[in-house]
Amino acid sequence: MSKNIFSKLLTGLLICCLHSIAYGQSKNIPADLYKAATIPDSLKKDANAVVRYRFVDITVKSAGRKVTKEHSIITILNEKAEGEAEIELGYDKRFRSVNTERMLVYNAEGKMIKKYERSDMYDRKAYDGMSIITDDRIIGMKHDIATYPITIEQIIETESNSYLDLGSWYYQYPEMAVQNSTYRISINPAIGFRYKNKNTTIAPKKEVLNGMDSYTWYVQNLSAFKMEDEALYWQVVPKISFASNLFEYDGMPGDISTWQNYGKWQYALNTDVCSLTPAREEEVRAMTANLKSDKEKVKFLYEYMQHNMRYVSIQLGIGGLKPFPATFVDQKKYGDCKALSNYMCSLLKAVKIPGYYAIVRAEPNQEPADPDFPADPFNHIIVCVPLKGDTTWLECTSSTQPFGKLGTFTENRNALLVTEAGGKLVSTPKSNIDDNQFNNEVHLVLDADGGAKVKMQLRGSGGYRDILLSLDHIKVDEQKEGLIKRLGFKQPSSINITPADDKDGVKTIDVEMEYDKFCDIMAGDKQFYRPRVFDLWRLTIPVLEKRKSDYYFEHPMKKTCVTTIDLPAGFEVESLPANASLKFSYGNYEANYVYDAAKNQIVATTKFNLTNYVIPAAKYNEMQQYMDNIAKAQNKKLVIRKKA
Amino acid sequence: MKKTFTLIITTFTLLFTTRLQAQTQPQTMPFGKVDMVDLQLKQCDFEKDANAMVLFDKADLYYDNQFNIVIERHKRIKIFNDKGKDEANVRLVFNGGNRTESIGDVQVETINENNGKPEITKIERKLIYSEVVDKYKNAIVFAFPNVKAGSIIEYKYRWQNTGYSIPSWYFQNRLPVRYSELSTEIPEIYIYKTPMRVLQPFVKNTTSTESHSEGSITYNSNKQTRALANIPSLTDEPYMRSRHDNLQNVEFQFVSYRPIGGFIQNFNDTWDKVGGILIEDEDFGSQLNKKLKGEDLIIAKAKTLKTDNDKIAYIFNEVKNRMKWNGLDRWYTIDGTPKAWETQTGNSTEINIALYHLLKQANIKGYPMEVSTRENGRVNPAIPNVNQFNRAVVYIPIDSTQQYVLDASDKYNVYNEIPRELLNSSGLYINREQKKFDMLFLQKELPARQVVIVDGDITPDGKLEGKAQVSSFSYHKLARVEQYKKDGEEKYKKSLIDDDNNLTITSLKLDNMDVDSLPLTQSIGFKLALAGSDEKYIYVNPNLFTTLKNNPFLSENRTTDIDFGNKNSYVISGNYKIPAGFKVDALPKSVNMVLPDKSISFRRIVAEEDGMVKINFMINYRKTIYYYQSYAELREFYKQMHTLLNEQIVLKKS
Repeated sequence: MSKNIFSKLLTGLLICCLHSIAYGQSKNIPADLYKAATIPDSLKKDANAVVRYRFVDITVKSAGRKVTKEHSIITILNEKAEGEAEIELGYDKRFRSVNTERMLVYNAEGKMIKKYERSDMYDRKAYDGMSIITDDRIIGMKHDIATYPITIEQIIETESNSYLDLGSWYYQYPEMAVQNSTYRISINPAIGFRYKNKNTTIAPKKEVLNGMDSYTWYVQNLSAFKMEDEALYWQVVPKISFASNLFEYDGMPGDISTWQNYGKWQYALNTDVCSLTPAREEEVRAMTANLKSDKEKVKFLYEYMQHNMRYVSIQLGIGGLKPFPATFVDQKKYGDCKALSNYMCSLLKAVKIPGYYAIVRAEPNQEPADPDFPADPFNHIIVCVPLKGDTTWLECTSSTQPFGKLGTFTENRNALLVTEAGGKLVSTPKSNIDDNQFNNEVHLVLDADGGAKVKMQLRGSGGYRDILLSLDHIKVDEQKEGLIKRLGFKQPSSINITPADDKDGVKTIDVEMEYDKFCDIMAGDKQFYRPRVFDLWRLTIPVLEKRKSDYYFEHPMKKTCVTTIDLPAGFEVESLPANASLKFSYGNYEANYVYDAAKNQIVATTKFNLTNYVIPAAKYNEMQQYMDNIAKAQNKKLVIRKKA
Repeated sequence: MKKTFTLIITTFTLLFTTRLQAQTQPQTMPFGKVDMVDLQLKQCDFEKDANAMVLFDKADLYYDNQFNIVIERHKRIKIFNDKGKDEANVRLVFNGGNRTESIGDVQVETINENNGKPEITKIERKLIYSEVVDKYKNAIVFAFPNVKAGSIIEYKYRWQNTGYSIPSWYFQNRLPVRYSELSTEIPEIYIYKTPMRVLQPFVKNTTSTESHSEGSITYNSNKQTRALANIPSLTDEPYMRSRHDNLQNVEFQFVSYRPIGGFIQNFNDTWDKVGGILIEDEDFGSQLNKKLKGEDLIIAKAKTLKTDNDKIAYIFNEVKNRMKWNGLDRWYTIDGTPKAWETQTGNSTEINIALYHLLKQANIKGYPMEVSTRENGRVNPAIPNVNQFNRAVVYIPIDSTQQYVLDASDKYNVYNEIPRELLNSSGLYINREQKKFDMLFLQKELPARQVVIVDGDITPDGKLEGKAQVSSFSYHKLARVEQYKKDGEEKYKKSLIDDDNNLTITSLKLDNMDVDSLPLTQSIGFKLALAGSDEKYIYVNPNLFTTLKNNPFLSENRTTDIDFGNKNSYVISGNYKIPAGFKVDALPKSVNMVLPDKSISFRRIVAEEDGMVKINFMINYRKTIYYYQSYAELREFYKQMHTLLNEQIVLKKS
């Protein structure tokens, strides 16, 4: 008992000492860095905040044990950067803790106006927008800024007993300037340290201190930069990634020096959860017994999984990395990406088809893992089935994804297959123009009063299927409003949407509309029309002097629309819109109008192809012109008149 | 005549179906007992496009022998398709922070049809998660097992509260509800008022008295059961007020306490009493006179100004610029005004009480006023209760027609416009000296005006070059100034172009941005490629630089009332010079259009004279609130108005 009290006292003393050391540091910082007026003009341009001073000091004594100390002084110039006056530190019961969190606020002259201590912190659960429950919590503090500029000093210390890799240093975000920033990692050489640059060439200074290797990076006087529209963060923002060859997570040691070794660790983690009960395995075999090929079996089981299981995200403890047992999913009929993918693998295992748990970074156009730098930049799991000459990929969290299609969520990058022989980094499929089609047929019947009746069929695959599919499950009123807005229909007097097939990855819907006035304008015996119900391509992009980064679409695409226009009886064409044939390096647009006098009918055929979803910066201006020209071509009108 | 007739018919049918429903189907059932008809149900008969529906939602509220409030809740949901499966993730949030509320006895089960019989899957206790959300809130979280299209899921729990506050009961929600029942049994020593929003007939509404004895004490309880059936779902709609204002619900407002054998202690039963409580309140009345650090400087400066208006404007801006709102809205202060003033940050009431205090010191006659923001819900003047409010502001009567309502918590508010989020609801102002407390309905009499004047020359190669002057008054001005200041000039220009690369802004000048008494004027120089033009025709769309591009009322049906907040008035005037070698081929016609009740009028006057096309639009609103029953007319009006606004001028090469 008394011993306990003593040790408590001792800890108290120790903490006090540490704190005074932390304060001692700030005394070495020039007072000028607390004053807003001393920021050079060159650093204010395009900046919402300026990092005056930052020192991040990381110590890794052994695999898994990481202590991060951070001391920063940031001057906030306007309300766009008000988030810099808030600290949010994640922690959980098992792996991560926060030792120190302190924030000091200085006015423009550098005079301290407020001090936030531990008692000012809030503590709340962390939201990831997906999970129904997690262990993750946030402790934080926030200063409400009344006037700018203002300077915020933060002193933070966090600790973790588990990691896979050592994360990354982003020393400069868009619209932020950096006056001084230092990053130091001191690491036990026995666990093997690695780092890798991206979008930067800075190099560290290496020292050996007390048996620890220490690496120090330093940057200064970096002016702010801005992100361009539809450019990707990971292609622009400077980053240095870190890893130690040996790691530990929840007491389980691992080796991430190669992809193969890292895969072994994950494989071991999954071994006790990746099988169904023998009785269920037998049932699974019975279900697929009369299917001939492996491919048919995989398809059957994938659809079985899609139909019976639902996505529910629960992340507790090691459950953030280790899937729920296949037997759990089998019983409860739900799981997250790990659990559902692992379950899919267990179904395949029951029928003796190898299927691999594949770790990937999800979200459209995300950065592929660097093959030369084994680490864990991942956040999602899919399944890879290496059928002979026909590798098939399965997205297990969607109940609607067509068999064997990944879509933009995980295409065009790589994934780490977890196999019995360890990890293997392989490419996921490239997005394909034929996978993303939007093909439409429209029959437009004009009447003599300027009204019209429309019947059309819309067919979408890939990204367009997703859009059409999303209409299926919303309220009828919202479907109508959604489609009118999405495709830019003129507001009809009535509209009816009938969902049709969803077969072989193509979703079809039928739409009927009536207009009491479809005509743009009528005068005398003439009527002026927009000769279509919707534009196949609506995007235009701003004129820029010089584009710096590549422009990304979500996927390549192929779109067509055939509009048959019946003219009202007694009318004829006065003026047909000009045909258009436009080209650019990665696609083309065509519009053709053919008038059949005998039927008194116009057939308008429009095509739009985008062959590549990445447009190099050098081609931006060409695309800009091309899209303006499409907009112009689509504006051309059809003029009809009463026959004499 | 005809309309009345149809209306009667519909009401009758509604009543009739409800009856029928009540007879054929059990309204609630015991936990675990299920009707096969419900298991085989394919869709909600009164809302066919629903992905899931609540079969019943039942609550029994009573006081236990320690006079804690207890609610036993049982909810059963039917899932129709895959999209409805998300209903099977449940999160029950309660105020567990200081142990006032707790949730226990949670039971969860899924019921599926298996070979024509119900099959029940229960959830293990360890899969019912308990979570500490933050200092104030806790949550119980669970996911139903074995859920498929067709499943019935149900859960029950016991909620307990040691305080006086009874949560509102919402009969209506985002899912359609077949049956919703609330039974309350409240000891007669507690008196609650129960304001209700109920738009359909109760299928059950019974009251009775029950007598209890605890040891030597006997007392009575008032029992009441209220139930509705076939309640449609409510989705958010453009220009609707808060969900609370629109959902069918019953509220419980604690009014008085009558101890057994003692005297009644009234809390909130008249506005006078509420006002009295506010004056006495440590976190309201006591804050009104607290000295603020450095106030003498501001007051001295204010006193040098000539008019009251100047003083009000000066003090308002001083407070607005000094204070940062911390995002909280409460009717009371938390840290107190002096502390908030010193740290330059506070909740809205702290900021505005500081404002009130400074105005008073500068001899401006004003009153603190309690209000409710649009998001918080409209104040019901018939139910005196301080909890209806969530913000204090300052009320300054100027003369019989004019009043100021000052709220310095928003950087973009001005002293001479009532904040938009307070319109069409009431405020309670507090005259401390005379102990006078009164309700005032906050509205904007005059329409907010917007005037757009475009002068342009059409060129033979299909371009329009010219100048536009946009004058924005009142709320139009505030909206644009806020956008400009938040986004910066570059982005603001982009918004003027509105993704139309045919339009180039060659110059932009904004005047009177910070002069509160004048409209914002924007002088815009522009070039527009008239993209539809070809060798023969030139087309000009006169809907230029207006904010009237998108029709918000596309939806065919409407279930909530529309509240525009303020009235609007638009004038759009275009003068287009016809190039040599061209003549007018088609002109939009001059038209007048009014809503049947004349509350919105639209007028377009078009003329060709002296080689110019002149086109004028005038749109005037005389009302701000439209009941959902009149939506069809409003929608049709908007549809036509948007067609008329976009009708083009056609020129032809001669």
